[in-house]
Amino acid sequence: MTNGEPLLEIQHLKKYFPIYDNGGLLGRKKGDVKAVDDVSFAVNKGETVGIVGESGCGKSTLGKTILRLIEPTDGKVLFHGKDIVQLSPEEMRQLRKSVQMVFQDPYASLNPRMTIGRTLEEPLLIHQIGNAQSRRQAVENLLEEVGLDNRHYSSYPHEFSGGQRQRIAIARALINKPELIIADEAVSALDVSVQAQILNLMQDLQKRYQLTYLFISHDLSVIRYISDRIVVMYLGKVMEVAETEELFTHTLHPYTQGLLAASPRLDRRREKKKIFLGMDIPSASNPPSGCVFHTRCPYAKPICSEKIPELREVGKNHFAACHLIQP
Amino acid sequence: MVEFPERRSMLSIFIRRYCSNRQAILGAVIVGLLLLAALCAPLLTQYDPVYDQDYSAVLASPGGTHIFGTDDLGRDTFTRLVYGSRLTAAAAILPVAFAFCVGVPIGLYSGYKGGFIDQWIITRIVDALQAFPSMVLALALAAMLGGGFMNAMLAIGIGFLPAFIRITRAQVIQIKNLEYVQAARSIGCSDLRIAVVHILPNVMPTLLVQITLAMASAIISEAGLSYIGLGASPEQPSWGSMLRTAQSYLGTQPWVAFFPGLSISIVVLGFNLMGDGLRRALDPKIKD
Repeated sequence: MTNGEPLLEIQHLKKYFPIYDNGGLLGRKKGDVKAVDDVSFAVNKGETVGIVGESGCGKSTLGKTILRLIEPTDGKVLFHGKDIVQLSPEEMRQLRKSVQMVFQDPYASLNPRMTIGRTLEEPLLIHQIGNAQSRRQAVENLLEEVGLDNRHYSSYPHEFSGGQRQRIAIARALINKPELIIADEAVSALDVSVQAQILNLMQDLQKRYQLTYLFISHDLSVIRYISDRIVVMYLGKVMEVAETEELFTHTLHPYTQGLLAASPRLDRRREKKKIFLGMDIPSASNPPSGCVFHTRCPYAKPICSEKIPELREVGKNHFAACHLIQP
Repeated sequence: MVEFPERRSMLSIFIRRYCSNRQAILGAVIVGLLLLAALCAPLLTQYDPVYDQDYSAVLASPGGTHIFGTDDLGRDTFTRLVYGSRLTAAAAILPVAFAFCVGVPIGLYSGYKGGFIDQWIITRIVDALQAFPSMVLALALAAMLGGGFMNAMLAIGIGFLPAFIRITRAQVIQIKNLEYVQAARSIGCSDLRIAVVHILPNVMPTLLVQITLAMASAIISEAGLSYIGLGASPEQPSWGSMLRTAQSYLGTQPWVAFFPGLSISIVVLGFNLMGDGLRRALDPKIKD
């Protein structure tokens, strides 16, 4: 599916949220929450890259920072080789035609006071594409394409189920024919059976429109199902990057092993030796020294608390940030 | 797999919920009657509120040709009440319209943009204004601006500003972090479009309740200012100035004060019931 040309390249992206001891302005800065800390990876045209990690690891912030819904602290986001972070507000507005987002909560991501038709026409309207009639036509066609009915045009969001709403949200992301769609926990709020429908719909649309997906989820089975390549994040940092089958068959990083062991499985025979991720994820405002994972890592050595491990290539197209893994 | 839910617009749901509350209906009826009286005043009475002075029936008791009696100049109380409903309706609408048109954009800007201007200029000024009870503020402003009905309206309107700014700002801060506002940004909406198309319509239900409650309070304030003499001039048929005239005869001819006082009470009650009904109908947490 991939043709090797990077569509999106993220280089040393950082997003720190400052903490003040007295709520803004005159308060003194106490420190930072390092939600995204020096993240680099690339997404090739036509592929689906999954980002997985526990709650609070910064994966959603990463998605929003790429779209500049949150301004990054530092780093580059190259789209077709051009740095998005440096774009002027007007250039950014134009770029938003090509990069779209599907949000987590289908109950919150649609304006309750706008009909489905108005919601879906809005992207065309604000970019002045077509006339009233052609816009309506485009919306009605798209509604059918995402598995709804063109009679839904004048309905309101409250008349739909969660799965139907997520179809509408996908249609909104799709209407301007974008190249890249960032799906931020797009199926996490849905029932498992509906999750499968939405994932299949997204795969169909990907084939039809040559879409590239950046799929963010905490759910390993969802990520495994949809992704070509997977980025594992922990406390704002990338722990491991590999192609899906490689990651699941040759899991290298202790954190990824822990994540896999923690996800429930039906066939107990294939169960490998378990790594338990005891204790909660440490605070991102005061991350552990050295390797951020060393406080929970069963194999931690003295070096792990002293030196930050680089993300190194440890196998073919397989990267891991761990002192203990030798290439 | 395509299912069609029963087609019900949000408006029809709202109307059904509103009408399921009897008190709310009563409130709407009272407000409706006030507006009707204001519109059709000349059709409801044969007298003129200012010039028809019947010296043979000064301070007449209710009944006969003057069903609500007359005042100290022999003017028909019913006529003055009916014409007074125009000033009352204006007193309900004008200050609130002023506070809405000025306060809501300020609140929208303040809540949406945040930062220095929001926290250190707008919020501080609003705090300062709010430190005065609104009646005291209106009194001081009316005294500064001078008497007269329009000045009283402006003074009362300024008194309402803090509430409108605050409510709008608080709602905007809550709504601007919702995903549909982020979605609007992600498709490339401008800030102005987000504020007006996506946020404002979702603030309106809360503002609607505030509008009706502020109308009730505006009527009381106008009556109060007129009573003191800072509002409508004495010959204008305002319910507040009628009370002021009637005060001298409270011991001997109490009906002169009774009818304007009752009218004010009923209309204020009507607006309050309506506001309460709107709040219940628009609050998703209250089940019908």
